[in-house]
Amino acid sequence: MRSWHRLWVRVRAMFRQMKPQNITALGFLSYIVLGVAALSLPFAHTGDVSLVDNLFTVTSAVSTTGLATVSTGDGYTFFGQLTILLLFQVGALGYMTLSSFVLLARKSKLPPGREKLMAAQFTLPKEFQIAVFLKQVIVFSLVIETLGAAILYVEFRAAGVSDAWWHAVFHSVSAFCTAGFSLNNDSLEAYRGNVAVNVTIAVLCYCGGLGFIVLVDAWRRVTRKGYRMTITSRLILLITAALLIVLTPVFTAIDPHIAYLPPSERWLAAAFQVMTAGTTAGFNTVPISQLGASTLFLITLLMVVGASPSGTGGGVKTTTVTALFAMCVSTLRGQRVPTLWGSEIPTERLHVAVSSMSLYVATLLLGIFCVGLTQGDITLGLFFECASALGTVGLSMGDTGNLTTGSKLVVIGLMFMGRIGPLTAGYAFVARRETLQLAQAQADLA
Amino acid sequence: MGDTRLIHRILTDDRVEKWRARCFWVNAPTALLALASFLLFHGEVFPQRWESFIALFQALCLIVLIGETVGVFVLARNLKEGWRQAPGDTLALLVGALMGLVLFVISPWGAAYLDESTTFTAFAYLTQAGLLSFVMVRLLRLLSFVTRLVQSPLHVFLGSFAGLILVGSGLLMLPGAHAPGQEVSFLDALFTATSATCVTGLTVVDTGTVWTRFGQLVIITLVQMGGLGIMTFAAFFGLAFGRGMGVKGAAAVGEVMNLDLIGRVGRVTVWILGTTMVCEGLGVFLLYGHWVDAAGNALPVGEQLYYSMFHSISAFCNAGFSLYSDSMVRYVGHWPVVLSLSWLVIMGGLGFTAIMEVTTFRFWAHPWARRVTFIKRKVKGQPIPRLSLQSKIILYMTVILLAVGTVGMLVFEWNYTLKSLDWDDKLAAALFQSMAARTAGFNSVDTPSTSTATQFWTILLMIVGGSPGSVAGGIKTTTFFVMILSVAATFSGRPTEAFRRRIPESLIRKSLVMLVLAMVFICTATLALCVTEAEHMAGEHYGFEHVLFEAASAFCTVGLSSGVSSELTPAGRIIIIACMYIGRIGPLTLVLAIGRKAQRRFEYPEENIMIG
Repeated sequence: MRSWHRLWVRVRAMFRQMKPQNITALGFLSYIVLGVAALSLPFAHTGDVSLVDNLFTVTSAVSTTGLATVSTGDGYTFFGQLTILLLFQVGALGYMTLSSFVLLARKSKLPPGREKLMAAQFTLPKEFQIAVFLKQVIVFSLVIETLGAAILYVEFRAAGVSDAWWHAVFHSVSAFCTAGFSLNNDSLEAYRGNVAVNVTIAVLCYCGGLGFIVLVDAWRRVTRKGYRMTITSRLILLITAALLIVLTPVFTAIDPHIAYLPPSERWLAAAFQVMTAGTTAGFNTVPISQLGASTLFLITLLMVVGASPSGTGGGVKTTTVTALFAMCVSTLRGQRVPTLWGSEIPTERLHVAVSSMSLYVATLLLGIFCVGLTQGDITLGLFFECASALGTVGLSMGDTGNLTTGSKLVVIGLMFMGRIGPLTAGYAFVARRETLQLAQAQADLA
Repeated sequence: MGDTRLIHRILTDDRVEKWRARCFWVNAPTALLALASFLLFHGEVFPQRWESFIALFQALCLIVLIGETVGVFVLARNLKEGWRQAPGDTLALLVGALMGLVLFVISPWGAAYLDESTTFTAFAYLTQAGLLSFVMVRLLRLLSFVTRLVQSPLHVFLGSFAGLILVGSGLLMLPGAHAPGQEVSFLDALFTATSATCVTGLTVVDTGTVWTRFGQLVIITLVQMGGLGIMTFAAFFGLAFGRGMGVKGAAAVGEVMNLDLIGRVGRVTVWILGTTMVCEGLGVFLLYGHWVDAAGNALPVGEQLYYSMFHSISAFCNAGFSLYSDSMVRYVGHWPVVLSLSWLVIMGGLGFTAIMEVTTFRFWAHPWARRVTFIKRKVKGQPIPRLSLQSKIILYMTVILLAVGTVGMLVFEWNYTLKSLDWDDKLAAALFQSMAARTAGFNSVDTPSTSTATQFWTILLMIVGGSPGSVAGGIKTTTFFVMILSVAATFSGRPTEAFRRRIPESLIRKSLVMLVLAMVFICTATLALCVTEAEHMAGEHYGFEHVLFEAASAFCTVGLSSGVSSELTPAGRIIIIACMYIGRIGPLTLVLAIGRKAQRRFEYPEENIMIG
């Protein structure tokens, strides 16, 4: 027994010495391994599903992407679908949250190592107390998901879907986690004109995509008197609203497919499309392959920009893009230091923003080239697929099923990178410990 | 004795000044009229039978213009003084005579008229050549006079390019510019003129068949002037033959070449023009004799010279215009042509500062050379020569990008478009294509049939582009280098440094702005093209990647085409024209010219923001 204990002490010491980014990556990896094991069980799938396909589905779930090589509704049994749901719920909340919560339930304090890890996971400003925060996160998630499920249940039952309750729960959780998995083969195309379903899914996606911190911040703004939201929260809300308001009419105008829809559905479809790309959810109410090239290009850009930090979405994050643009505008105006809304952006952040963006683009290009090599040629569909994978979105032009095994592995790699974030990956592989501490002295990296 | 000479010199200067000022108002209109008559005649606006009258008119103009120089000599009262006062004019006269002889040889009419009325034709051509050189000199001096009037050097810069494009399109619209039976719309002429001035090379009509010799000469003149910037020419001639340009003019020229020229205009412009002449001349020499026609037979002497000259200028200015409809495909394995054109393109793309530094580098004083004893004694006291950081980066990146481009091309195309070639032809093709992506625009393999991976790879190479201070486009190798260094520095925790020098923060920010602006413009252009070309794209004529390629090629003034230029809608062509213009003048310049500088004398407080 003592030798086991000594082994445990040594393992724990090794973990303490590891960089937080490495631990994050390892955590996701362990989840993937567990998930693959679970889905490989014979009663998880109907018919034959290869190991690579299972790996694909599991990575897609854990990274809340939503791409699927095997139809979720037809290929997996209830047990399989439940496993997938648990995987993306856990993926969304981040493995740290859950284990911290478990720890919290036993003793109401986090060990200091875990606390720093939590911060790395969630990009927190200093004012937040992590334990309280965690509890609120879990409660919020469950409450919102339940509400969403209830509304969807009513709509699905009215539409005559069998097992409506399961569909409602699955889609509700899938939307909140911005995963985008659907039990229908055509995603939500059948509900294109259904206002209730559209709005519910959209609200769920935005709640998940905006980020826990922003939600809590907004909640405090509403419930407390005289509370000012942090500049980041204001920025995130503004950008999200701006993208939605500006791009919906654009999509309605320039896309041939959307323009041919009946007027009652047109605006709803356009808004839904902007929402699903912007929050990196991955549901679609119009078939993506039929959209025009300009719309696809815009969607790709939206996917790259992604959602907000500390949300369940992917991409380079809206704040990074805003910081870069603020820097450009300031430089063009001739200001010596970049400013945003009257506050100066520290140089360290700008460096991080630049590196984040560069690495993201570099990873995307590398992924596309690898897919091109394994698949034979690069088409717009494949390009879209890679961007969708790296941004953990899940929209597809229909090529997912046609990928060769090599391409599937590349896409799996992209999804994984998309979830842990290229910057984190870069730090995990490259940086030395000292530089990390220096970089994190000012806190807050996602 | 010295004092007398000095006094004499001052008095002469004063008299010559007054004489020149008085002549200006006569000479300027005369020069304009002479140029107009020349161009309109060759543009076939005037009927052929007026040829003798036109020649007479031009002779009169020439006499008037020469009169000024003669007057200078008279006022100076001796030849040596006269030469000192007007070295350029006298030189121009001599050069004009020489040019006349050369024109005579290569002109298509030269061979026909050799037997009949030789004297008259020789007279006509001599007059025209002399007139042309004289007129250009006068007009360029006029330009330098104009720059003093305009507010900002940036506006001069923008205006010079716009003016050149408009004049060029006008000339290309003349009936004498297009071959009999070919109809050219104004948009086509505008497109070609913009493509030439912005040294891009995209064409909507085939250069070799649609334009006559006159039209092709107009195009190549636009290429030469647009490449170096007409302001450079103006500066040179203004200094050599007149009073110079002042600070504003120098700044305008500096904008073109991205150099700091205050106080050094003369030396730098002389250097630029000199290098250009030397390189292009060498190019003509190297390319001579290799040109073949459609059947594979070598072209006659006059044609050889003409083709060599055309392609030499086109290559050095990184334009990419070719007189063959399939660009350089027939020369894919022909190493002399491949190497000569590659060398020209690289020289043009290196940038004049780098060339200046490398050629004036005192190799013999370098530590490595000093190891040899007999050198050591001679250079004992001399400082060790150093290349500037910029030159080092330029040379380094040029080599790396060429190598990477060649390797990438080979990897992607080995079994694809290069399948039918021998291995050394494959290497030549890959090298050529890689060099072409450095904003030249010639192609020795059919670009539309290459795989999409190659096209993506080429797009990346195009965006990086050539070196600053050269005729190339793109975000420039130095910008790209700084960006990569900055990202690497974030991870290693060290400050951004290269070749044992640190790169300042402001430069990193500027590089980022350049990159972002380039991306924004290319994306906007692609999006706009997707909207205007929606019908063509829906009908599977071409896809998104073709449109992206074309937009990137236009913006980076490369000229490689995915084959869609001639099929674009008019709106699409206008978008490409705008892309080429903005790409040539540089997005940063455009934004700076439009925006204003903010005056801030205080600093805002700091606040953190989440980045992730």
